[in-house]
Amino acid sequence: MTPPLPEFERPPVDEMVMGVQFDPLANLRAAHFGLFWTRIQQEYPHTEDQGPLVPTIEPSEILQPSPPSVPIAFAIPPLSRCWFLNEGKTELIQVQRDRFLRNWRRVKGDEPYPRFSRLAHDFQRAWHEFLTFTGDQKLGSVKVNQCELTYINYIEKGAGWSELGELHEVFPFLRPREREGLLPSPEALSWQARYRLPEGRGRLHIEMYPVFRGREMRLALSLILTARGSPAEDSPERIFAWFDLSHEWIVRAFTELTSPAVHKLWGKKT
Amino acid sequence: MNQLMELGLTHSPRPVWEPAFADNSWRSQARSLYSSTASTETIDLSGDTAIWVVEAAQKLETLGRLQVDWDSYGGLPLRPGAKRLTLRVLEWLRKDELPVPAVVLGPAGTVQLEWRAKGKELEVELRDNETIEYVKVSPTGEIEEGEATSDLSRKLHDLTNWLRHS
Repeated sequence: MTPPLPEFERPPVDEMVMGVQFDPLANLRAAHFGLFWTRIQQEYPHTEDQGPLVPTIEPSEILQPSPPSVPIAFAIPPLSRCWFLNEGKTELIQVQRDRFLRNWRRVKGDEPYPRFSRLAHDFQRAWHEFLTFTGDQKLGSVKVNQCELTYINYIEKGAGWSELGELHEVFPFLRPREREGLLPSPEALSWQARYRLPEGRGRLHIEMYPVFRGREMRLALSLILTARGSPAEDSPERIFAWFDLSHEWIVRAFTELTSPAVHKLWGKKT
Repeated sequence: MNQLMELGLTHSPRPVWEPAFADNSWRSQARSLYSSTASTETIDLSGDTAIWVVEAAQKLETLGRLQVDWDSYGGLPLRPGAKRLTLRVLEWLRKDELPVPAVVLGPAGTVQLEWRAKGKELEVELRDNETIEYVKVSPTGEIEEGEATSDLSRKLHDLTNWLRHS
């Protein structure tokens, strides 16, 4: 029997991004951003322009380093990415010709994490609105080729660690330094890992590196978990089944990689 | 300068560091593309960041906690605009090999970065209003002062290039 999904009262998550990538909508023009905004403006009253994201496909096999991204010559003019933000700027929708993403993020720093179920529901609602819009505007069929789920966590200095030589207190798979050992506390320490999701559903990428957080003016450890892959079929049910699977993997991986001592600080319930 | 809070003046070489995996193409994507905050509110201190940035960030952590009258002369705490500009400057110069600067808080709540290298001195004040003021002192003692109100990234790279190259 599968154990229940761990839950934390105060998880260190600072931002969560759910998104899909689809075959480019060649007929989507800048004017459509404005038209789409009229449908969601009440909920998302602010907009910002951003540079477009490059297409990303999780390969089934990783054989060699990926070549650096190069600009692609488009037959149609490149189009920027548009952000639609809520009043508090804690939630936003990102749209470009081949992407639809929805973020939740902490802005002041004390906003409670709304939980995956609520954010998944809001993503589903916004995605449905976008699909209705593309249908109404006859922009062509939206064929999803990738899904992405990212959790960005910040583990502040003082929450289980005070220097990089103590990271085994947060990540038990790191061994404590030997008392008589040669090496001092490291000056820099980062790690990365990737895991295959079951049934060829993509990969879970995990990365940890130290950062300086401007909002809190504190050093912290950034722990980023990104699941990326393709759903079994391009249907809403399969897409949301992919997100459920990825969410479960991210939560279990986060719990497995971090220590019971820091779980206590984050109010682990189950 | 005697009212400024001195926080460090050592010189450390940049460490050599290699990523754990050859394929890290996904890395920068997770860091800055999907995330809407990471690129503007955090400074990456992983191994490819110049060591002076790591040390400057640690000093900035201390500066950020200082309260009004921290210098007993009515000194102001770090101003929000100066803080934002300092974070951006550290991000702009993140991979530039420079000596570790002194990071000091001015009485007006601004941040000053002070480098010394090859007999030269460079002081850059990061103000609250998105502008910088700088002083260059050459090995022969010539002094050049100036300020920049736009294109700050390029100006800072020009200044640090002057410091690094003979």
